Formats: sequence, C-alpha cells, structure tokens
Amino acid sequence: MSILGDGGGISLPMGDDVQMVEVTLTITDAAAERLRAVLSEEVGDDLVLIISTLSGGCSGHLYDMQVAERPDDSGFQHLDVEGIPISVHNRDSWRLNGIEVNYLDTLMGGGFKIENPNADRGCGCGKSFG
Amino acid sequence: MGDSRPTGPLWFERASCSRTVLSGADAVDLLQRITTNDLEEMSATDVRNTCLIDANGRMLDLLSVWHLGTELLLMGSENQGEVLRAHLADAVSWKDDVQAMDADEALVLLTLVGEGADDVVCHFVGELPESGHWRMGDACWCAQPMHDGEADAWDIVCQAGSREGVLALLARHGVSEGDEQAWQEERVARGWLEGGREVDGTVIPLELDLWDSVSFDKGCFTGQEILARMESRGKLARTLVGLTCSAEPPLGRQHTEAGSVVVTSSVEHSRLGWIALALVRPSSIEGDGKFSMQGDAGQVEAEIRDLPFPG
Repeated sequence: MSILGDGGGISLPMGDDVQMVEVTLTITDAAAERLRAVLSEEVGDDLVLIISTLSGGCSGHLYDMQVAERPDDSGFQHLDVEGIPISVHNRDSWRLNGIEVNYLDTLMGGGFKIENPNADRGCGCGKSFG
Repeated sequence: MGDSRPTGPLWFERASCSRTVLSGADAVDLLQRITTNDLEEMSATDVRNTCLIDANGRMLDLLSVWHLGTELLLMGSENQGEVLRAHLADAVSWKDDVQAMDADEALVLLTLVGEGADDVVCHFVGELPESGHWRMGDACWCAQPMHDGEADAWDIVCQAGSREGVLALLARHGVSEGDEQAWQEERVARGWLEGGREVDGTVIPLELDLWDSVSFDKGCFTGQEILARMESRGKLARTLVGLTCSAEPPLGRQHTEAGSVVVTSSVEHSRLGWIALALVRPSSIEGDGKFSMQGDAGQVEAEIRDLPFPG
C-alpha cells in the first residue's frame, strides 16, 4: 500500500528529457585488443559492450562498462568501432559523444581509461567526471 | 511582543517543503550515489537526513528520508523541490528502476512544536518513538523533524484527505495553529535551517553543522571530495551560530570587526528579543563573540550564542 493512497501524487519524468546526439567514439589499439579478448571470453549470443554513465562519484558521474547481449531497447544507439560492437543509450549520448577509450596495461592505475571532451572536471581517483 | 500567543504546542503547515515519493528496486541506490548520508542499511520505519550537494560540495537541498518499506518519502527544505526533482530526473540511468511521484498535493506536512508536543504524539502512537517514524492511524505518520533530535518537536505527514481530521484531533489535544511569526521564532531559536536562507547553493553541509547527515565511509558520492578534505583538515571556513542582537539585524553579508558575517535569518522573539542565525568565521567564536553591524535604524550590537538558544 502506497503512502499516497489510491491515485495520489503526480508521476515525475525520470530521465525522459534527454539531449540526444549521434554518438561517435574512438578506441585505441590497446583498448580494442583488450576488448576483443574480453568479448571472446564471455558466453552468449550477439554480445556488445554497453558504455554508459551513472550519477554519483565525486564529480557527479561515473563511467560504466559492461558486456551484455545486444539490448533490444530502442533507446540505444549501436556502433561498430574497430570491429567492437558497442551500444550507448540515448540518455548518455551527449555525455559520451567523442570519448576515447584507452587501456593501460600497468600494475598500478591500469585498466580502461576514458578521455572525455565533454568533462569539465574529474575527481582525484579519476573514476568520475562532471 | 505578543502575550496573545496561545499556550501549549503549535502546529505549522510546511507547504513549501517538497514531498516526493520514490519507488523501484534502485531507489535507495540512486540516493546513495547522489546524496551525502549512508542510506543503504535503512530499513522500514527508519528516518535519516541526507544532503543533496553539487560537485563543489555546495548545498542544494536538505532531505529527510523516511523509509516506508516499498517506498521512500523524501521531504526537502523550503522551495527546493524543483532543484531536487531536476537532479533526480537527471541522475536516473537507463538501467535504474526508479519511479518518482510529486506528492506536494497528495501529502500534507505539519510540524508540531512546543511544550506538550511529545505528550500529544505519545497519545496518538501509544508509546513515544525514540527514532524513526510511527504510524498514526491509516493515513498519518509522524517522526522527529529533520533537525537534531530534541524534545517537543515532531513532523506529521498525512494524506491530504485526512488533513482536516488530523487537525481536529490536534485541536482536541490543545494544539493550536501557529502563524509565520511563531514559526520563525521557533525555527530560529532552535537553529533549524530553512531553504533559501541557510540552505542555499553557497554553503557546505559541514558549515551548517550537518555532520550527522554526512557519511565519510560509505564510498563516493557527488561532492564527496570537498567534504572529505574539509573533514580531514578539521577546518571550516565558516560555521553556523546564533546571534542575540540589540535591534533588528541586517540580513546578508556584513563586514564587522569579527570579520565577514552572513546573517541568514532573524526574528524578534517574544522572550529572547532579536535573535538571528548567521555564518561566521570560527575565529569569531574564539574571541569575545561580540561585534556590531550597521542596521537600517542604526548600529546593531550582536553577540554569538550556541545553538539552540536556551529553551
């Protein structure tokens, strides 16, 4: 039972008011090689790399990358970059347009790194942007 | 000042404080990511305060979060509802399962204050709740307000259709309606914050003594770096204090012998005279705490006091 009782309250739009752009992004050779390896290790049909943003982190937004089956949600844009299938949701399109995905093979501070021309700021640990 | 003020507790309707209901599997996680307090371990009937801040650590809203089991009720500070809702809408990712309802019309927020308020609430709920929120009948809930726990102060939330019934019940127990003057007297004397006065986009939660609304070990949240730095350095640029004044103090930034002072609220209190809330440099407190300001009608002598003012 809702605190609002029957039919009280006004539904608020959540993430519907999006500024959509057609996404282009680049992947460095090192990142492409690593992503191909990651995709080949996963089991499933029609796997893609979903790159998205989450609110939070010191600077306001965090990057999120996951391998999943190609989403059938019409809100996604599907790209092929260096042979890597990538999906980006329209909600994230303006924040992620123009990014470069890199991969650093180092013991400390290694892993995937994203250079984002839309970010005005980043936090000390480098995991969030705003 | 008025001897006409009714005795006994007063109720105030807080219509300008936003009421928003969140639901969905990721509602807590969303708030965890974008607000300052640790809400992850909350369980049904818990109430916790948390701050919505920007990436520079500045206050956007102070929220009281009521965990209702399958829903969260967020109650914001005055006139900050649009800011809160814009941030919520922007913060939801494509994979978040979160729904939000604007409950400003559907729910009524009353604050009950004054000697005897505890007895009134106790009468409704049987036993005085020590923390969290309590149900008062089918469509009414109560909890201690968003400010530090103190005696004789309660927030009551009811469905709009129950408003008249709740007010009639309060009246039967000797609770009267308070006017804006009475509200400001209670609020300023208790050091309670108001949206647009103390809670605005220039101030950092720790400067408002909202330490219990910030978690320093829950992990990253927006604005965390700024707060963590202030906490580790143990230094605040300014801090919220009470002032007793010889006359009506001017609002806003004042340049005084105690340094820069920002007077955020003031009221002529029936017992305490002119009192105010102000942000001052910590060094101002270390001195004698006295300074003067230029008011509309001449010089105003002010003295720094601990909050809350003595009851």
